[in-house]
Amino acid sequence: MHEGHGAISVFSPPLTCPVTPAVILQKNGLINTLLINIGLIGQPLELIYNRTGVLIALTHILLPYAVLPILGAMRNVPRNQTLAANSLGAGPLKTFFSVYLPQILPGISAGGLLVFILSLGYYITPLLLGGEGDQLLPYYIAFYTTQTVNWGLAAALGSVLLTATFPLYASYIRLVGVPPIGLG
Amino acid sequence: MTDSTYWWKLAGRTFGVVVLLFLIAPIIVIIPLSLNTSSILAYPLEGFSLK
Repeated sequence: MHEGHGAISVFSPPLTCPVTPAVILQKNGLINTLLINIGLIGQPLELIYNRTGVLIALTHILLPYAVLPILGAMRNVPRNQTLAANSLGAGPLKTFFSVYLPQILPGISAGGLLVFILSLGYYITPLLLGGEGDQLLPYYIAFYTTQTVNWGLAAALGSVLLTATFPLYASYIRLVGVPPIGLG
Repeated sequence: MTDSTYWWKLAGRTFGVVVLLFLIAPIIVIIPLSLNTSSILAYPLEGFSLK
């Protein structure tokens, strides 16, 4: 199995991403039907239009963005280091935590930061799959821009989002080195 | 290869397959629904239509 297959959810268009969890997670959707037919649950689970639905959908959309930097870091760890740790008497867990993990830690941080920055700006997924209390800042920016025409507050919220993203982006660039996507 | 290494490898493979299924399943699930006659995106399928 080629490892690029997991990246296919990156390329699926933004609107299909929240629609597919809606098909699977809704009250008589696939997951609930399956679990009821197996007999694990009697009542359908509330998987959508609350925090759970948003978490599952955002995990599904953003997982490749976390996996790819971590994969890049894991590729750079020489194989013979773990073999050397094994031959010097370290068990699998010891090898992982004191040889492997410190070397892929920058990749994990970069992946986490990237996902955090991306998920800060997610608008349509929490809108379609979330409940009352699950809306993120972009929802309120859109709300104050289009519903109540309070552009001052919308601009202020946008500035909050931007200034919150800048330090995160700076630390991301410090971790990764150069920005992976540039204009030139 | 020791026995514990085998089980660690098997666990890693299984986890990888589960994650890949989690990523690919919604995309596979949505494909038949695009050919469904019903205008609501829900299973079970009702009929074949290209509309």
